[in-house]
Amino acid sequence: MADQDLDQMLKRMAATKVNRRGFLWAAGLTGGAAALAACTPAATSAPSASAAAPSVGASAPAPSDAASPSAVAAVEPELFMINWGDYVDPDNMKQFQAEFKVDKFTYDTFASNEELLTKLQGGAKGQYDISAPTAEFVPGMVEQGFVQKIDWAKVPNAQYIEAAFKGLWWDPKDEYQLPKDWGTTGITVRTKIVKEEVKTWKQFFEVAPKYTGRIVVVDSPGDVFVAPLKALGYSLNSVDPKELGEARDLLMKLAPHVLALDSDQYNTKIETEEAVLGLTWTGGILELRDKPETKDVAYYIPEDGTLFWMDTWVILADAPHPNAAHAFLNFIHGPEAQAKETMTNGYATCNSEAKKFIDAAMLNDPAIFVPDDVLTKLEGAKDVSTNPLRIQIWEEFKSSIG
Amino acid sequence: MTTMAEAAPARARQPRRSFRSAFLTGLLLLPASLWYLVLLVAPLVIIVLFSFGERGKNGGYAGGFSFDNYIAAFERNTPFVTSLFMAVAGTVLCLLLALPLAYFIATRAGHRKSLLIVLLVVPFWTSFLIRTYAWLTILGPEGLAGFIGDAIGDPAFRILGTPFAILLGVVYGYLPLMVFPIYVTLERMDRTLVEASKDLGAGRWATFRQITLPITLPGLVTGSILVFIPLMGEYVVPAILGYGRVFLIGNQLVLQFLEARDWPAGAAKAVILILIMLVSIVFYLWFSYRGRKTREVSVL
Amino acid sequence: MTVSPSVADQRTSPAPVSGLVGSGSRSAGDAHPDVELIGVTKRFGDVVAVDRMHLAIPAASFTSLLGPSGCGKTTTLRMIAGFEQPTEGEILLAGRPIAGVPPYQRNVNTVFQHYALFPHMDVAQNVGYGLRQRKVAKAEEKRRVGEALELVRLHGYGGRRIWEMSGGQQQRVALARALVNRPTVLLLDEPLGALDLKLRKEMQLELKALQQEVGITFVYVTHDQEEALTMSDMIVVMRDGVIQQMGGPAELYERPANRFVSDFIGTSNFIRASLIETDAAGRTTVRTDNGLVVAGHLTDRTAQLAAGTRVTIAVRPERVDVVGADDPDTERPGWTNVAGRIIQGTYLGDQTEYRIQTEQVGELLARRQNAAGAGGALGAGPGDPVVVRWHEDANLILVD
Repeated sequence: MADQDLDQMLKRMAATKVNRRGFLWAAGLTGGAAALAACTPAATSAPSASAAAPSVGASAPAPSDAASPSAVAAVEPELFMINWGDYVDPDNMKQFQAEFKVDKFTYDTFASNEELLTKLQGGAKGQYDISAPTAEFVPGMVEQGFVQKIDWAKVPNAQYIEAAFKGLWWDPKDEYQLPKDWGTTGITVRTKIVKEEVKTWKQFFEVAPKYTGRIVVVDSPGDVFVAPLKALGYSLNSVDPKELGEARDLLMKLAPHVLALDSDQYNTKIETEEAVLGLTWTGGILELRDKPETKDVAYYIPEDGTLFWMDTWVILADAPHPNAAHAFLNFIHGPEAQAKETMTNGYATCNSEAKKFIDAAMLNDPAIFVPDDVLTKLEGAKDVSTNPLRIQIWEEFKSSIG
Repeated sequence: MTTMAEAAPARARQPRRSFRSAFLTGLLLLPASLWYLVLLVAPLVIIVLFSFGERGKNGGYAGGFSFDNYIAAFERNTPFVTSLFMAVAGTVLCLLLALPLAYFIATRAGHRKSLLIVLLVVPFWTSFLIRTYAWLTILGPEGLAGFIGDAIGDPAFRILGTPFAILLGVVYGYLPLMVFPIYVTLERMDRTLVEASKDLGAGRWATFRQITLPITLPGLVTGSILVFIPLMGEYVVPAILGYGRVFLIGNQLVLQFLEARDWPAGAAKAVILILIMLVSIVFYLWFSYRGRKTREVSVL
Repeated sequence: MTVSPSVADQRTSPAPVSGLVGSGSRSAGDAHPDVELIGVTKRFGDVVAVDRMHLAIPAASFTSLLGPSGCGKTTTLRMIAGFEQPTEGEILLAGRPIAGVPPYQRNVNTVFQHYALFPHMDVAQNVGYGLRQRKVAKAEEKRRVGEALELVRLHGYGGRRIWEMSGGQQQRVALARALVNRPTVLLLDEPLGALDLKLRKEMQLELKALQQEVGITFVYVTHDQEEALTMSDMIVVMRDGVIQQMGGPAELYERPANRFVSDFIGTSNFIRASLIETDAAGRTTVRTDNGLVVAGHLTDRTAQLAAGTRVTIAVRPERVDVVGADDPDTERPGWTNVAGRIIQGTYLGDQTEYRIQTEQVGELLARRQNAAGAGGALGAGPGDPVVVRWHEDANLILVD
C-alpha cells in the first residue's frame, strides 16, 4: 500500500504546482528533486519602498509602434536565462529558438529571490542575460546595479500590458521590468464541509474556531500578516505598533486551531480533507477543482482585500546577449505566446491582448483573473518583513500553534 | 571519527626528520589545511563578525558593533529551548535503539552481518527529504493513523503534527549515524573480554554494564555527538512531519537570513547555537569520561 | 583409546600456602576428581570437535591438554569453563554435574590466551573484578588483591594501567585475576603463546611453582610438547577430538601408546615391521621389511596381536649410537648394528645430531653427546661410512 501511495504522492508532487517559495526550496533541494516542487511562483514578502495598489490608468512609457514580429532582426545565437524552475512554457522556448536562430538556450534555476541575489553578488553578474525576480526585489537589484534599463523600442509587445500594472511602486517609471505573472494570497475552503461563507478575512477568523485542527496556513509571515491586517481594515504592509498589536491578538486566537504551517503540501492537506480551511496561495489548489473528489474546493480572493505578487522579466546588467534578451521579452509577450504561458503556469497575465487566446474557463475564473472591483483592493507587498515587531509576532505565533 | 580516550597512543620520540620529509608532510597536509581554513574557519570568523553588526539597507551586513543581536536572541529563547529539548530527546531515543541493534549486528548476526550493514546504508541512497516525505504517507490519515483511528473508533486520530511524529522521523533519519560508531567499537572489541567477565562471575547484565558499555563508550559518545549536532539545527523533519507546529532554531535562522534578511541577527543566533552545542558536548564528554584515567601521553 | 591416568603417585602434594586456597573441601584423599568428563561429545554442525571423551582430572594436579591445533583441546577447556555446552555427555565439577550452569556460576576461572585484561581498569581493578562480582567487602577485596599481586610478584603495581605492563606482567595480572577467586580449577588456554622464548621458559617454571604453591588444579591447554613435559603432572594427548594417551611426562615419552604420541612428543625414528611373536610381559620380536629381526617392547599391553600384524618400531635418536665403520665392537648381544653413510651432521652444542642413510632401515636420526667422556668427537663428515647401533631396550613396538 505504502509503495503505491508514495508513488502517487511523488507523481502528484511532481505534477502539481507546489509553491516555489515553499520549504523544499528553502531546504536547498535542487536538481532531480526539483520535480517535486516544480514551478509555482508565489506570494512573497519582501523589500522596498511604497506599495501601491495597481492603479488603473497610471501612465507609462508605452511603446508606440505596433509590433511586427514578422521582420525578425538578427540577434546573438545564445541566451542565458536564470529563472524559477519550470517557469517558461517549453513550446514557447522551442519556438523562440527556431524563430530567432538561438542555438543555445541555457535555463538555470534559482530557488529563491535571495539565492538569485546571492548569485549575482557572488560574481554571476555578466553571465546571465535575463531573469524573473519577484517585483519587490527589483528596486534592490536596480540599486545594486544588477539590472539594466529595457530598450522599449525593441519590445513593442509591451504595449499590451494593462495600465493597472504600470507605474507600480517597484518601478515607478517602468524602466527596468516587464510583468510576467501575478497571483494572490487567499482563502481555500472545502465547501462540502465548511458550510459557512468564508469570502473575507474577517469571516475566516470568525469561522476558524469551529474547525480546530483542520486549518492549514502557509509558512510565510508576509502572507499570514495579510489576513489579520486586512480583516481589521489596515494596510497589509502596516508597521504601526498599534495595528500590529491588534493583528497579533487575532493571530494568537487563530494559532490553537491551526493544523499545520506548510508552504509545500498545503494542497495535499486540503485534498485529503486533513485541512478544510486554508490561508494559501493558488499553487496546487486550483487544479483540485477539476477533480471529481475535490470539486468542492473553492479559492476566494478575500473581498476585504489581499496581497498580490508579481514576477517580472528583467534584463541583467552586462548581459552578454542583449539583443537576444530583448527579442525574448518581446517574443514572450506576443499575445499567443503569452496565452500559452498563462495556461501552462496557471497564473494571471497582465497582457490584455493575450486574453483573447486564453480558455474561457480560465479567463472567467475569479480566482485567477480578478474582477475589476476586487482588483482595486489588492495591495502589493512592501519591504516590511524585516520589521522587528513583525518578526517577534511571527515567532510568537509559530510558537503557539496547536 | 576517533574519540578522545583512544586517540592518545604513547608517542615514540620523533626521530629527526629531514627537510625533505618535513616539506612532503607539509605538502600533503596543505589541501586539508586550506580546506579547513577556507571552509570552516573563515566562515566562522565571518559569522562572529557579522553577529555584532547591523542589517544593511537591502539586507545583508552593514558593519557596526553592538550586542543588540545577542540581547534580542536571549530575550526570545523559546526556539533554543525547544531545539535543545528535541535534540536531547532524539539523541537519547537513538541511543536506546541503536545500542541493541549495533550489539546484535556486531555479535549475533553472523553471516548476515554484511547484509544488515548494507540495509542500514541503503536509505542513504535516497534524499533525506524524499524519505521524510514518504513518512507523510505512511503515518498519514490514509496510512497508519487512519488504521489506528479505525481500530480505536476515533476518526480524528492523528500521528502527523505530533511530537511523536517528529521524534519518529528524527530517529529514523539519524539512527544510522548512531549505529555505525557503536557497531564499530563493538566489532573492534575483544570478545574474550566478555567471556573473561562471565568467567569471573559477572552475569549478562553485570558484564554489559561493567565491560561492554565502558569499552563501547567512545562509540556511544561519537554517535551521540554525530546525532546531537545536526539535531540541534534540524528543522526539516519538524516542518514536514511536525506540520511546522514547533518553532526551532533552524526555523529561526531561516527566518532571520531569508525572511528578515537580517544577517547580523541570524549570525548572532548561529553563534549562540554553536556555543550551546560546544557547551553541551564538553559537558557530555566530561560526564562520560569522568573518573576515567585516560591514557597518558608520554614521550619518554 | 583411553588410558587410565597413572600420575597420582608422581604428583607432589603441596601444602597450600597463602590465603588463596581457603576452602578445605579438597584434599589429597578427596573422593572426586576435580573435573570429570563422561562421554562428552561436542559437534559444531558436521564437525566433531570432541568425540566421546572420558577424562578424570585429579585434584590439585597440573594437567595439560596437548595436541595440534584443531584437536579439540580448547573446545574441551571451553566446555569446562561453560562457554560451550557439550552436545552429548556430562561434565562433573567437584563431583557435581554442571550442565546448564552458566560460566559465571561455575567455580572455575580461566586465563585466556591473550589475557583478556579489561583495558579500562587498572591492574588492581582487574584483579579485584571477580571479588566485586561476589560483593566481597572493599577492605577484603583490597587485602586479597594485594595478596594475589604479591603471589605473582607484582606487588605495588596495582595502580598501573594495563597498557603500561609488559607481556609477562600482563600474563601475571591475568593469573592473579583468576587465582584471587580461589577457583576449584584454573583453566589456562595457551597462556604463554604470546611471549618470547626466554620469557616463556621462565614463566613455565614460575607457573609450575605457583601451582604447587596454591595447590589449585590447573588445566593447561598447549600445543607445545616441551611446555607440557616441563610443567605437567599429567598430560592428555589429543588428536581429532579423541584422547590418544594420558599419563605422566616420563610415561608418555618412554611408553608412547601409538605412533602419533611417539611422534608428537619428542622425536623418533620409525621403522616399519611385522610381528613375529610377543610374550605376556610385552617382550616382542618383529621382522623389519628388510628382514632384520629385532626384539622390543610392545607399548600397548592390552593389544592382542596375531603374528604378521603390521607394527612400527620407534627408536629415540638419543638411544642410537654412531661409531666409525671400523669399530671392532660389533657383536654385543642385544644390539642391532646397521651400516650407513652420514648425510648431515648438525652441531647442537651439548650434542651432535646426525642424519644417516642406511641400506637396511632407511634414514635414521642419531644424537651423540659431545661430552669428553663419551668417546670424544666422531671425526666423520658427510659421505663417510659409519655404523649405527642401538640396544633392543630402545625399541618401542607401536601398534599402528
